[in-house]
Amino acid sequence: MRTILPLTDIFERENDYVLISDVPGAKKEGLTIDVDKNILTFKAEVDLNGKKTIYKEFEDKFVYERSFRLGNDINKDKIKAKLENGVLAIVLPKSEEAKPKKIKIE
Amino acid sequence: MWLIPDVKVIEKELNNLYNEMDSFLENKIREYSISLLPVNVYEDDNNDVKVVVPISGVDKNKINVEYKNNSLYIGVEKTKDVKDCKLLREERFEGKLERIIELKDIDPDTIKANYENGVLTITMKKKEGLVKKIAIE
Repeated sequence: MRTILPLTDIFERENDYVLISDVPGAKKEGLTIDVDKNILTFKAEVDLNGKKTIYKEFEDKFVYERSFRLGNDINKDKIKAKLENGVLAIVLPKSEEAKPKKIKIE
Repeated sequence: MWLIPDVKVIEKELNNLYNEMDSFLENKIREYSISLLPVNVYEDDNNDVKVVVPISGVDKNKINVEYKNNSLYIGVEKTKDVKDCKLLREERFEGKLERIIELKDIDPDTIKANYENGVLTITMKKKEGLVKKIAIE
């Protein structure tokens, strides 16, 4: 099966990083996200095949797959993901040490 | 002796060049938009036509499907809803996309559109009387 690299935006916020990937056709079932050492990988199998193809511009049976190397400033135990309308959002919280700290002025 | 071409000839040549450049750019833009809004067309058991368009992260209200002049018109507007963050990498597209697909002999009253999992599916029936089984004598 063909592998498609989903287009991804990456943002940094005060307390986390956010990966946003376009994965049209991906469903919760069939979506896997795992972190091995410092590599985060997500995969999703997609089948948009109809009965009889009349005209074809895109591959209708494929796998989305993409990996990202995570920095040491990420709390790997608190990674969260959400899939909505074919958009996958993965939130990577910064570790406590990496978060900006406000110093109180006495 | 110098052969000086007629001004009209030069003008014509220049116009040709402009037209070529225009159509080259137009084709490039078309190729690009096809890659952003690709379309597959299928037929199911009942001979119904199914048009499938993968386009993730679009507001349902910003999808426009019309049928006119024997063609299906699909227009979507994709917006990215992010504020107050620092952009580290940007690959995703934002903006308006449209496609026109010629689909003849369709019954416009049967066209239905559905948007789910980032995939726009438009189904329709063929005009009745077009599918005829001919008995072999």
